[in-house]
Amino acid sequence: MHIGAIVSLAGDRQRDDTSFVRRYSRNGRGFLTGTSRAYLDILGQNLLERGTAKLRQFDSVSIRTISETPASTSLLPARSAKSTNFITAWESAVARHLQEGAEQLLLMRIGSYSDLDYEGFLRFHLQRGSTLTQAYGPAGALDLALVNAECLRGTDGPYRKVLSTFISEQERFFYDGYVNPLNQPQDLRTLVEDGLAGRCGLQPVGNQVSPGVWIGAGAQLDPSVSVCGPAFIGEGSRVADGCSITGSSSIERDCEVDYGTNVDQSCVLQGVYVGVGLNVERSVVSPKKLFHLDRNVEVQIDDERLVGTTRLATLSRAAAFGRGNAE
Amino acid sequence: MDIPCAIMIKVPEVFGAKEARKLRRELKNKLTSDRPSVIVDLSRVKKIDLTGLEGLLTCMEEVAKQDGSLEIGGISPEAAAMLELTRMNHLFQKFPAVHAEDSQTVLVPEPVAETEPAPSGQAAQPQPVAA
Repeated sequence: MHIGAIVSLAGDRQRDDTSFVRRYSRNGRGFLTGTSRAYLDILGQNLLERGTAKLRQFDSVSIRTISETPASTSLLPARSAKSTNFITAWESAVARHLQEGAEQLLLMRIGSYSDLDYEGFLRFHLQRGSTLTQAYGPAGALDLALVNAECLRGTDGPYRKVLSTFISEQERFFYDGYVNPLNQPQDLRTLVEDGLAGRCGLQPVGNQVSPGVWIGAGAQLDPSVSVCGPAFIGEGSRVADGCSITGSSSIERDCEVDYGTNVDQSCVLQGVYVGVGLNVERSVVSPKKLFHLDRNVEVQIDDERLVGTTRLATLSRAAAFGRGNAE
Repeated sequence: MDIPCAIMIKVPEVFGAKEARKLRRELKNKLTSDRPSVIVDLSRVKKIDLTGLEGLLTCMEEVAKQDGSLEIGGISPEAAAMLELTRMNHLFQKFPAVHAEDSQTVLVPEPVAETEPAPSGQAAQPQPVAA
Protein backbone atom coordinates (compact mmCIF):
# COMPACT_ATOMS: atom_id res chain seq x y z
CA MET A 1 0.00 0.00 0.00
CA HIS A 2 1.40 3.38 -1.00
CA ILE A 3 1.13 6.14 1.59
CA GLY A 4 1.37 9.82 0.67
CA ALA A 5 2.47 11.79 3.71
CA ILE A 6 2.15 15.55 4.15
CA VAL A 7 4.24 16.83 7.02
CA SER A 8 3.44 20.41 7.98
CA LEU A 9 5.66 22.49 10.18
CA ALA A 10 3.67 24.64 12.54
CA GLY A 11 4.40 28.35 12.76
CA ASP A 12 6.68 30.64 10.86
CA ARG A 13 7.71 30.12 7.25
CA GLN A 14 11.35 31.08 7.49
CA ARG A 15 13.68 28.54 8.95
CA ASP A 16 15.85 30.30 11.49
CA ASP A 17 17.69 28.26 14.07
CA THR A 18 17.74 31.15 16.49
CA SER A 19 14.07 32.00 16.20
CA PHE A 20 12.88 29.59 18.85
CA VAL A 21 13.96 32.05 21.44
CA ARG A 22 13.15 35.23 19.65
CA ARG A 23 10.63 36.92 21.89
CA TYR A 24 10.69 37.64 25.54
CA SER A 25 8.37 35.49 27.51
CA ARG A 26 8.17 35.15 31.24
CA ASN A 27 6.73 31.66 31.07
CA GLY A 28 8.87 30.47 28.20
CA ARG A 29 6.06 30.01 25.69
CA GLY A 30 8.19 31.94 23.23
CA PHE A 31 11.05 29.53 23.73
CA LEU A 32 9.65 26.69 21.64
CA THR A 33 7.71 28.13 18.76
CA GLY A 34 7.08 27.54 15.11
CA THR A 35 9.18 25.60 12.66
CA SER A 36 12.07 25.91 15.06
CA ARG A 37 10.48 23.20 17.22
CA ALA A 38 10.64 20.82 14.26
CA TYR A 39 14.34 21.59 13.74
CA LEU A 40 15.29 21.56 17.39
CA ASP A 41 17.58 18.64 18.24
CA ILE A 42 16.46 16.58 21.19
CA LEU A 43 19.03 13.96 22.22
CA GLY A 44 20.79 14.24 18.88
CA GLN A 45 17.98 14.37 16.35
CA ASN A 46 15.19 16.82 15.61
CA LEU A 47 11.48 16.05 15.60
CA LEU A 48 11.20 16.38 11.81
CA GLU A 49 13.93 13.80 11.24
CA ARG A 50 12.49 11.49 13.89
CA GLY A 51 8.98 11.85 12.42
CA THR A 52 10.05 11.17 8.85
CA ALA A 53 12.20 8.23 9.99
CA LYS A 54 9.07 6.70 11.54
CA LEU A 55 7.14 7.31 8.32
CA ARG A 56 9.81 5.51 6.31
CA GLN A 57 9.01 2.33 8.22
CA PHE A 58 6.00 1.99 5.90
CA ASP A 59 6.78 -0.26 2.93
CA SER A 60 5.95 2.43 0.40
CA VAL A 61 5.75 6.07 1.32
CA SER A 62 6.45 9.44 -0.25
CA ILE A 63 6.81 12.45 2.01
CA ARG A 64 6.16 16.12 1.30
CA THR A 65 7.08 18.72 3.89
CA ILE A 66 5.46 22.16 3.93
CA SER A 67 5.68 25.12 6.30
CA GLU A 68 2.51 26.58 7.72
CA THR A 69 1.68 30.25 7.94
CA PRO A 70 1.70 31.58 11.51
CA ALA A 71 -2.12 31.80 11.44
CA SER A 72 -2.53 28.03 10.93
CA THR A 73 -3.61 26.28 14.07
CA SER A 74 -5.01 22.94 12.99
CA LEU A 75 -3.97 19.85 11.12
CA LEU A 76 -6.80 19.98 8.59
CA PRO A 77 -6.99 23.26 6.64
CA ALA A 78 -10.33 24.97 7.18
CA ARG A 79 -12.94 24.64 4.44
CA SER A 80 -13.00 28.41 4.04
CA ALA A 81 -9.25 28.94 4.39
CA LYS A 82 -8.03 31.70 2.08
CA SER A 83 -5.45 30.87 -0.52
CA THR A 84 -2.18 31.47 1.28
CA ASN A 85 1.18 30.02 0.27
CA PHE A 86 0.60 27.23 2.77
CA ILE A 87 -2.85 26.38 1.41
CA THR A 88 -1.53 26.40 -2.15
CA ALA A 89 1.37 24.14 -1.15
CA TRP A 90 -1.00 21.83 0.76
CA GLU A 91 -3.45 21.51 -2.15
CA SER A 92 -0.54 20.90 -4.50
CA ALA A 93 0.94 18.23 -2.21
CA VAL A 94 -2.41 16.38 -2.07
CA ALA A 95 -2.72 16.55 -5.87
CA ARG A 96 0.82 15.21 -6.39
CA HIS A 97 0.25 12.32 -3.98
CA LEU A 98 -2.98 11.39 -5.76
CA GLN A 99 -1.22 11.54 -9.15
CA GLU A 100 1.49 9.25 -7.81
CA GLY A 101 -1.11 6.68 -6.82
CA ALA A 102 -1.26 7.13 -3.05
CA GLU A 103 -3.96 4.96 -1.52
CA GLN A 104 -3.90 6.65 1.87
CA LEU A 105 -2.87 10.16 2.84
CA LEU A 106 -1.18 10.63 6.17
CA LEU A 107 -1.35 14.20 7.45
CA MET A 108 0.85 15.24 10.33
CA ARG A 109 2.03 18.41 12.03
CA ILE A 110 5.39 18.47 13.72
CA GLY A 111 5.16 20.00 17.14
CA SER A 112 4.54 17.60 19.97
CA TYR A 113 6.25 14.27 20.63
CA SER A 114 4.51 10.92 20.94
CA ASP A 115 5.48 7.27 20.79
CA LEU A 116 2.43 6.48 18.67
CA ASP A 117 2.97 3.53 16.34
CA TYR A 118 2.00 4.62 12.82
CA GLU A 119 1.55 1.02 11.64
CA GLY A 120 -1.01 0.40 14.39
CA PHE A 121 -2.74 3.67 13.51
CA LEU A 122 -2.96 2.64 9.84
CA ARG A 123 -4.25 -0.83 10.81
CA PHE A 124 -7.03 0.76 12.88
CA HIS A 125 -7.94 3.11 10.01
CA LEU A 126 -8.13 0.28 7.47
CA GLN A 127 -10.02 -2.10 9.78
CA ARG A 128 -12.67 0.56 10.38
CA GLY A 129 -12.88 1.32 6.65
CA SER A 130 -12.80 4.96 7.61
CA THR A 131 -12.60 7.91 5.24
CA LEU A 132 -10.86 10.04 7.85
CA THR A 133 -9.26 8.93 11.11
CA GLN A 134 -7.65 11.31 13.58
CA ALA A 135 -5.40 10.34 16.47
CA TYR A 136 -6.14 11.63 19.96
CA GLY A 137 -4.15 11.52 23.16
CA PRO A 138 -5.33 12.09 26.73
CA ALA A 139 -5.06 15.87 26.28
CA GLY A 140 -6.60 16.13 22.81
CA ALA A 141 -5.75 15.77 19.13
CA LEU A 142 -2.25 14.58 18.27
CA ASP A 143 -2.12 16.38 14.91
CA LEU A 144 -2.07 13.12 13.00
CA ALA A 145 -4.71 11.91 10.53
CA LEU A 146 -5.21 9.32 7.82
CA VAL A 147 -7.43 9.97 4.83
CA ASN A 148 -8.63 7.42 2.31
CA ALA A 149 -7.18 8.91 -0.85
CA GLU A 150 -9.79 7.24 -3.05
CA CYS A 151 -12.40 9.54 -1.54
CA LEU A 152 -10.50 12.59 -2.79
CA ARG A 153 -9.73 11.29 -6.27
CA GLY A 154 -11.76 12.86 -9.02
CA THR A 155 -13.51 15.33 -6.74
CA ASP A 156 -14.43 18.86 -7.76
CA GLY A 157 -13.07 21.89 -6.02
CA PRO A 158 -10.28 22.34 -3.52
CA TYR A 159 -9.34 19.23 -1.54
CA ARG A 160 -9.68 21.08 1.75
CA LYS A 161 -13.37 21.59 1.07
CA VAL A 162 -13.91 17.92 0.25
CA LEU A 163 -11.91 16.88 3.31
CA SER A 164 -14.02 19.08 5.57
CA THR A 165 -17.11 17.06 4.63
CA PHE A 166 -15.46 13.94 6.11
CA ILE A 167 -14.90 15.45 9.54
CA SER A 168 -18.40 14.76 10.88
CA GLU A 169 -18.03 11.05 10.20
CA GLN A 170 -14.38 10.69 11.20
CA GLU A 171 -13.11 7.82 13.32
CA ARG A 172 -11.11 8.60 16.43
CA PHE A 173 -8.02 6.61 17.33
CA PHE A 174 -7.30 6.98 21.03
CA TYR A 175 -3.68 6.64 22.09
CA ASP A 176 -2.85 6.36 25.77
CA GLY A 177 0.91 5.97 25.43
CA TYR A 178 3.68 8.54 25.89
CA VAL A 179 2.88 12.06 24.69
CA ASN A 180 4.79 15.28 25.38
CA PRO A 181 3.20 18.52 24.11
CA LEU A 182 6.54 20.39 23.98
CA ASN A 183 4.77 23.66 24.67
CA GLN A 184 7.19 24.98 27.24
CA PRO A 185 10.88 24.56 28.10
CA GLN A 186 9.82 22.42 31.06
CA ASP A 187 8.26 19.98 28.57
CA LEU A 188 11.53 19.82 26.63
CA ARG A 189 13.42 19.11 29.83
CA THR A 190 10.94 16.36 30.77
CA LEU A 191 11.30 14.77 27.34
CA VAL A 192 15.10 14.74 27.64
CA GLU A 193 14.92 13.17 31.11
CA ASP A 194 12.40 10.59 29.92
CA GLY A 195 14.49 9.77 26.85
CA LEU A 196 17.65 9.31 28.90
CA ALA A 197 15.82 7.19 31.47
CA GLY A 198 14.15 5.03 28.81
CA ARG A 199 10.67 6.11 29.87
CA CYS A 200 9.78 6.88 26.24
CA GLY A 201 10.90 5.84 22.79
CA LEU A 202 13.13 8.87 22.21
CA GLN A 203 16.50 7.22 21.69
CA PRO A 204 19.65 9.28 22.17
CA VAL A 205 21.72 9.40 18.96
CA GLY A 206 25.24 8.37 19.90
CA ASN A 207 27.33 5.63 21.42
CA GLN A 208 26.46 4.55 24.91
CA VAL A 209 29.94 4.68 26.41
CA SER A 210 28.84 3.77 29.93
CA PRO A 211 25.47 3.06 31.52
CA GLY A 212 23.23 6.03 30.73
CA VAL A 213 25.94 8.10 29.03
CA TRP A 214 25.65 8.72 25.28
CA ILE A 215 28.33 10.49 23.26
CA GLY A 216 27.75 11.59 19.66
CA ALA A 217 30.23 11.11 16.83
CA GLY A 218 33.22 13.43 17.02
CA ALA A 219 32.36 14.81 20.44
CA GLN A 220 35.46 15.72 22.45
CA LEU A 221 35.59 15.52 26.22
CA ASP A 222 38.72 16.43 28.10
CA PRO A 223 39.81 13.52 30.35
CA SER A 224 39.26 15.74 33.39
CA VAL A 225 35.56 16.16 32.60
CA SER A 226 33.26 14.53 35.12
CA VAL A 227 30.16 13.02 33.52
CA CYS A 228 27.58 11.52 35.83
CA GLY A 229 24.92 9.63 33.87
CA PRO A 230 22.36 9.76 32.61
CA ALA A 231 23.82 12.32 30.23
CA PHE A 232 24.00 13.11 26.53
CA ILE A 233 26.75 14.92 24.64
CA GLY A 234 25.93 15.43 20.99
CA GLU A 235 27.88 15.10 17.78
CA GLY A 236 30.84 17.45 17.38
CA SER A 237 30.47 19.04 20.78
CA ARG A 238 33.43 19.90 22.96
CA VAL A 239 33.61 19.91 26.73
CA ALA A 240 36.75 21.50 28.15
CA ASP A 241 38.92 20.83 31.22
CA GLY A 242 37.37 20.75 34.63
CA CYS A 243 33.73 20.73 33.52
CA SER A 244 31.09 18.52 35.06
CA ILE A 245 27.94 17.24 33.38
CA THR A 246 25.40 15.85 35.83
CA GLY A 247 21.72 15.31 36.53
CA SER A 248 20.39 13.96 33.23
CA SER A 249 21.82 16.88 31.30
CA SER A 250 21.95 17.05 27.53
CA ILE A 251 24.41 18.97 25.41
CA GLU A 252 23.27 18.88 21.83
CA ARG A 253 25.47 18.87 18.72
CA ASP A 254 28.14 21.48 17.91
CA CYS A 255 28.18 22.94 21.43
CA GLU A 256 31.18 24.09 23.41
CA VAL A 257 31.25 24.06 27.18
CA ASP A 258 34.28 26.00 28.29
CA TYR A 259 36.71 25.51 31.19
CA GLY A 260 35.40 24.67 34.62
CA THR A 261 31.71 25.02 33.87
CA ASN A 262 29.11 22.84 35.58
CA VAL A 263 26.00 21.74 33.73
CA ASP A 264 23.46 20.18 36.05
CA GLN A 265 19.88 19.10 35.28
CA SER A 266 19.96 21.25 32.16
CA CYS A 267 19.60 21.18 28.38
CA VAL A 268 22.12 23.02 26.23
CA LEU A 269 20.56 23.41 22.79
CA GLN A 270 22.45 22.84 19.55
CA GLY A 271 25.31 25.16 18.63
CA VAL A 272 25.55 26.91 21.99
CA TYR A 273 28.77 28.20 23.51
CA VAL A 274 28.75 28.18 27.32
CA GLY A 275 31.50 30.33 28.81
CA VAL A 276 34.24 29.77 31.37
CA GLY A 277 33.54 28.87 34.98
CA LEU A 278 29.76 29.06 34.83
CA ASN A 279 27.13 27.16 36.74
CA VAL A 280 24.27 26.10 34.50
CA GLU A 281 21.65 24.61 36.76
CA ARG A 282 18.01 23.64 36.06
CA SER A 283 18.09 25.60 32.80
CA VAL A 284 17.54 25.36 29.08
CA VAL A 285 20.22 27.33 27.25
CA SER A 286 19.98 28.64 23.70
CA PRO A 287 22.53 30.82 21.87
CA LYS A 288 21.28 34.07 23.41
CA LYS A 289 18.94 33.06 26.19
CA LEU A 290 18.69 31.03 29.30
CA PHE A 291 15.42 29.74 30.63
CA HIS A 292 15.49 28.87 34.32
CA LEU A 293 13.11 25.98 34.87
CA ASP A 294 12.38 26.54 38.56
CA ARG A 295 12.15 30.32 38.41
CA ASN A 296 10.12 30.03 35.20
CA VAL A 297 11.97 32.96 33.73
CA GLU A 298 13.76 33.65 30.47
CA VAL A 299 16.92 35.75 30.62
CA GLN A 300 18.37 37.47 27.57
CA ILE A 301 22.16 37.13 27.46
CA ASP A 302 23.87 39.30 24.88
CA ASP A 303 27.42 38.79 26.12
CA GLU A 304 29.09 35.99 24.17
CA ARG A 305 31.62 35.50 26.95
CA LEU A 306 28.76 33.94 28.90
CA VAL A 307 26.53 32.30 26.33
CA GLY A 308 26.73 32.50 22.55
CA THR A 309 26.91 30.60 19.30
CA THR A 310 29.80 28.31 18.44
CA ARG A 311 31.68 28.68 15.18
CA LEU A 312 30.72 25.13 14.26
CA ALA A 313 27.04 25.97 14.60
CA THR A 314 27.43 29.03 12.39
CA LEU A 315 29.12 26.94 9.69
CA SER A 316 26.55 24.14 9.81
CA ARG A 317 23.68 26.64 9.67
CA ALA A 318 25.25 28.31 6.64
CA ALA A 319 25.62 24.90 5.01
CA ALA A 320 21.98 24.05 5.76
CA PHE A 321 20.78 27.30 4.18
CA GLY A 322 23.03 26.60 1.20
CA ARG A 323 21.39 23.20 0.73
CA GLY A 324 17.95 24.79 1.08
CA ASN A 325 18.70 27.27 -1.71
CA ALA A 326 19.96 24.52 -3.97
CA GLU A 327 16.70 22.62 -3.52
CA MET B 1 26.55 59.30 69.05
CA ASP B 2 27.07 57.18 65.93
CA ILE B 3 23.92 56.36 64.01
CA PRO B 4 23.90 52.87 62.47
CA CYS B 5 23.36 53.58 58.82
CA ALA B 6 22.54 51.13 56.04
CA ILE B 7 23.13 52.09 52.44
CA MET B 8 20.45 50.85 50.11
CA ILE B 9 21.55 50.18 46.54
CA LYS B 10 18.48 49.96 44.36
CA VAL B 11 19.66 48.40 41.14
CA PRO B 12 17.63 49.57 38.14
CA GLU B 13 15.68 47.39 35.69
CA VAL B 14 18.51 47.40 33.16
CA PHE B 15 21.93 47.28 34.78
CA GLY B 16 24.73 47.67 32.26
CA ALA B 17 27.99 49.56 31.84
CA LYS B 18 26.51 53.05 32.28
CA GLU B 19 24.56 52.14 35.39
CA ALA B 20 27.56 50.29 36.85
CA ARG B 21 29.74 53.40 36.39
CA LYS B 22 27.13 55.50 38.15
CA LEU B 23 26.93 53.01 40.99
CA ARG B 24 30.71 52.98 41.47
CA ARG B 25 30.84 56.77 41.49
CA GLU B 26 28.03 57.23 43.98
CA LEU B 27 29.03 54.37 46.24
CA LYS B 28 32.54 55.82 46.57
CA ASN B 29 31.06 59.00 47.98
CA LYS B 30 28.74 57.15 50.35
CA LEU B 31 31.19 54.69 51.90
CA THR B 32 32.66 57.14 54.35
CA SER B 33 32.29 55.24 57.61
CA ASP B 34 34.12 52.11 58.75
CA ARG B 35 32.22 48.83 58.58
CA PRO B 36 29.44 50.11 56.32
CA SER B 37 26.18 48.16 56.04
CA VAL B 38 25.05 47.82 52.45
CA ILE B 39 21.81 46.34 51.17
CA VAL B 40 21.61 45.54 47.48
CA ASP B 41 18.07 45.53 46.14
CA LEU B 42 17.94 43.57 42.90
CA SER B 43 14.18 43.14 42.88
CA ARG B 44 13.63 45.41 39.86
CA VAL B 45 16.33 43.93 37.66
CA LYS B 46 15.13 42.49 34.36
CA LYS B 47 18.42 42.58 32.52
CA ILE B 48 21.93 42.58 33.92
CA ASP B 49 25.03 42.06 31.79
CA LEU B 50 28.66 41.32 32.63
CA THR B 51 29.53 44.97 33.17
CA GLY B 52 26.63 45.22 35.60
CA LEU B 53 27.87 42.16 37.44
CA GLU B 54 31.37 43.66 37.49
CA GLY B 55 29.84 46.79 39.00
CA LEU B 56 28.39 44.69 41.79
CA LEU B 57 31.78 43.04 42.28
CA THR B 58 33.40 46.46 42.65
CA CYS B 59 30.78 47.33 45.20
CA MET B 60 31.59 44.13 47.09
CA GLU B 61 35.30 44.95 47.00
CA GLU B 62 34.73 48.42 48.40
CA VAL B 63 32.54 47.09 51.20
CA ALA B 64 35.02 44.29 51.96
CA LYS B 65 37.92 46.77 52.12
CA GLN B 66 36.14 48.59 54.91
CA ASP B 67 35.15 45.37 56.66
CA GLY B 68 31.49 46.09 56.04
CA SER B 69 28.41 43.91 55.78
CA LEU B 70 26.42 43.33 52.64
CA GLU B 71 23.21 41.50 51.85
CA ILE B 72 20.62 41.26 49.17
CA GLY B 73 17.41 43.02 50.12
CA GLY B 74 15.34 41.60 47.29
CA ILE B 75 16.03 39.80 44.05
CA SER B 76 14.13 39.30 40.82
CA PRO B 77 14.10 35.84 39.19
CA GLU B 78 16.12 37.26 36.29
CA ALA B 79 18.85 38.58 38.57
CA ALA B 80 18.83 35.38 40.62
CA ALA B 81 19.34 33.33 37.45
CA MET B 82 22.30 35.50 36.38
CA LEU B 83 23.96 35.44 39.80
CA GLU B 84 23.59 31.65 39.90
CA LEU B 85 24.97 31.29 36.36
CA THR B 86 28.05 33.32 37.18
CA ARG B 87 28.34 31.86 40.71
CA MET B 88 28.18 35.34 42.19
CA ASN B 89 25.43 34.14 44.54
CA HIS B 90 28.18 32.41 46.55
CA LEU B 91 30.11 35.67 46.85
CA PHE B 92 27.12 37.43 48.40
CA GLN B 93 26.80 34.61 50.92
CA LYS B 94 30.36 35.19 52.13
CA PHE B 95 29.49 38.60 53.54
CA PRO B 96 28.12 39.01 57.04
CA ALA B 97 24.46 40.00 56.93
CA VAL B 98 23.41 43.46 57.99
CA HIS B 99 21.05 42.03 60.63
CA ALA B 100 23.74 39.87 62.15
CA GLU B 101 26.03 42.85 62.36
CA ASP B 102 23.66 45.08 64.26
CA SER B 103 20.51 43.59 65.66
CA GLN B 104 18.97 47.02 66.14
CA THR B 105 19.22 47.96 62.51
CA VAL B 106 15.82 48.65 61.00
CA LEU B 107 15.51 48.25 57.28
CA VAL B 108 13.01 50.42 55.49
CA PRO B 109 12.00 48.87 52.15
CA GLU B 110 11.57 52.15 50.27
CA PRO B 111 14.14 54.86 50.92
CA VAL B 112 12.75 58.27 51.68
CA ALA B 113 15.87 60.35 51.28
CA GLU B 114 19.24 60.19 49.61
CA THR B 115 21.57 60.42 52.51
CA GLU B 116 19.59 61.50 55.53
CA PRO B 117 20.41 59.51 58.65
CA ALA B 118 17.59 57.80 60.49
CA PRO B 119 15.68 60.07 62.92
CA SER B 120 16.04 57.64 65.80
CA GLY B 121 19.46 57.05 67.23
CA GLN B 122 18.99 53.30 67.06
CA ALA B 123 17.44 52.88 63.65
CA ALA B 124 19.26 52.59 60.37
CA GLN B 125 17.91 54.30 57.32
CA PRO B 126 18.66 52.65 53.98
CA GLN B 127 19.87 55.17 51.47
CA PRO B 128 19.50 54.90 47.73
CA VAL B 129 22.59 54.94 45.60
CA ALA B 130 21.64 53.83 42.14
CA ALA B 131 18.22 54.92 40.89
